Amino acid sequence: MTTQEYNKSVDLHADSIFRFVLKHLKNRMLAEDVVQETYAKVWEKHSEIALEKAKSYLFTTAYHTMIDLIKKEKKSADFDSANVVLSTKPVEHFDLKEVLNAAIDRLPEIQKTVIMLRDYEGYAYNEIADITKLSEAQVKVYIFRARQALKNYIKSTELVA
Amino acid sequence: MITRENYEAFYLDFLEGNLTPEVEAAFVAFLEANPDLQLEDDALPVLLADDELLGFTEKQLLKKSEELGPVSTETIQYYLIAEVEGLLTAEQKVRLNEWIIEHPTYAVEQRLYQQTVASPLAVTYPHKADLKQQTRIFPLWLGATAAAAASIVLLIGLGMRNSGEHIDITAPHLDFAWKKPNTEVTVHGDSVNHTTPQHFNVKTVFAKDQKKKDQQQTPFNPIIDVAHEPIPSPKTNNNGTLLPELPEQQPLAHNHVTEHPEFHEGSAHNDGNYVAWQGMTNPIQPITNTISNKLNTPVDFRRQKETGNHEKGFYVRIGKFEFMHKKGGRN
Repeated sequence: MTTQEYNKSVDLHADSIFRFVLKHLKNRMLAEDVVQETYAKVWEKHSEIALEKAKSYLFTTAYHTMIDLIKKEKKSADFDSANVVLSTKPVEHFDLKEVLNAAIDRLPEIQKTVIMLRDYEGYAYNEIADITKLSEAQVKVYIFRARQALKNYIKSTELVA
Repeated sequence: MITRENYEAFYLDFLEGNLTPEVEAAFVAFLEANPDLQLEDDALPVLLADDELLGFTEKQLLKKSEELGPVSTETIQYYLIAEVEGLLTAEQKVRLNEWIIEHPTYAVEQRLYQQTVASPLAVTYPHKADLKQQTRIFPLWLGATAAAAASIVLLIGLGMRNSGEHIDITAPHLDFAWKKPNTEVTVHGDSVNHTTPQHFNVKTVFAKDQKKKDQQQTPFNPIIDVAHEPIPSPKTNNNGTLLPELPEQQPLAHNHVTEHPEFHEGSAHNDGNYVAWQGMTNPIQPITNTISNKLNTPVDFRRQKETGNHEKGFYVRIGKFEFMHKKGGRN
């Protein structure tokens, strides 16, 4: 990528990366840090990265940066717990989008990751496998499990309502 | 023969699917005849919890083949998710929809699965500008100017070291000249046309010799002039900077400066050509002319060697930028 292409990738993908990370971390400042670090890492290698691979490279870098951060934060027990939704009890939602977002928040991390890459970014199984370093079969399993879990959550909220 | 006394053994085999079709049909007929013996689902003994069993979906996901059996209560979950994931063939979709029409309670499941597809949230990263790198615009003229400046500095160094009137300039500094077809170069006083790259040393051509030559010079002609006639020492201002003071214009007879319209803009004191008249000469005139033509702006370089009458110094002009310097001369 040239400098111009790199800057274009900021315009094109920074929001998606931020959304992806924020959804996991539930902490705006940490998510911004991850985005900064991701782009810093990508800039270091920008001359080696083709423009068409930029998005995938960014998500891969962001994902692993985020995982590293989560591990580090868990070790130091310094997570901003106030920002993390811990409850697994369904709450009342009247908007389907809200319901679904709440449901995604309750998924295990890996299922959340694959579902977001699938639904938000439209990645194929093999692309998600590349980003997450899982096998394609594992990605499929996690997505199927996540769909079942999401369906059950939506069903439960409908029952509550 | 199934009776109310022995039906329990048949019942267990029935639940476990161990009955032959004929016996199973007979047992079903028996249950219908004795409805009070039918067990509700929640009264059935649970041998294994659901989460301890691998369902069809999990098993199917373990398989390498994409083959799906017929739609059934066992396979329906897999079908519904596969539909959402876009994994079903057209034929499988038709099969699924037909089955759901026959089993309308699963239409709700189908709708719920379709609702599990998330649409992106409107989230904006607020610091995009901080992520961007500054694009360094390096215009052509700046590159050419830098090249000219580098050449000038190099020649200053060569000129200051060289006490004689000959300057040997190694070929790499004039690369551009012999890459240009039909460029006239002077090698030890002989003019030759070079159309192919060739290494040579350019010797200084004295003004008197140069006068004999054709006055036509191309911008790429690498003939180098060195003035040898004594000239009056230029005046300096309060800062010791050489001033191109010229009481009146005189012809640039021995410098062969290619006329450039912009050279005559502004006052005479700002025109670098007049400096040459005072004794400073341009040893790289073809180069400065070329750059000047390329940039469409005055580019000049003059220098004066230290002699009995003159201090050594140099003068550089690039567009409106002019710089003059003299060093430790004798007066």
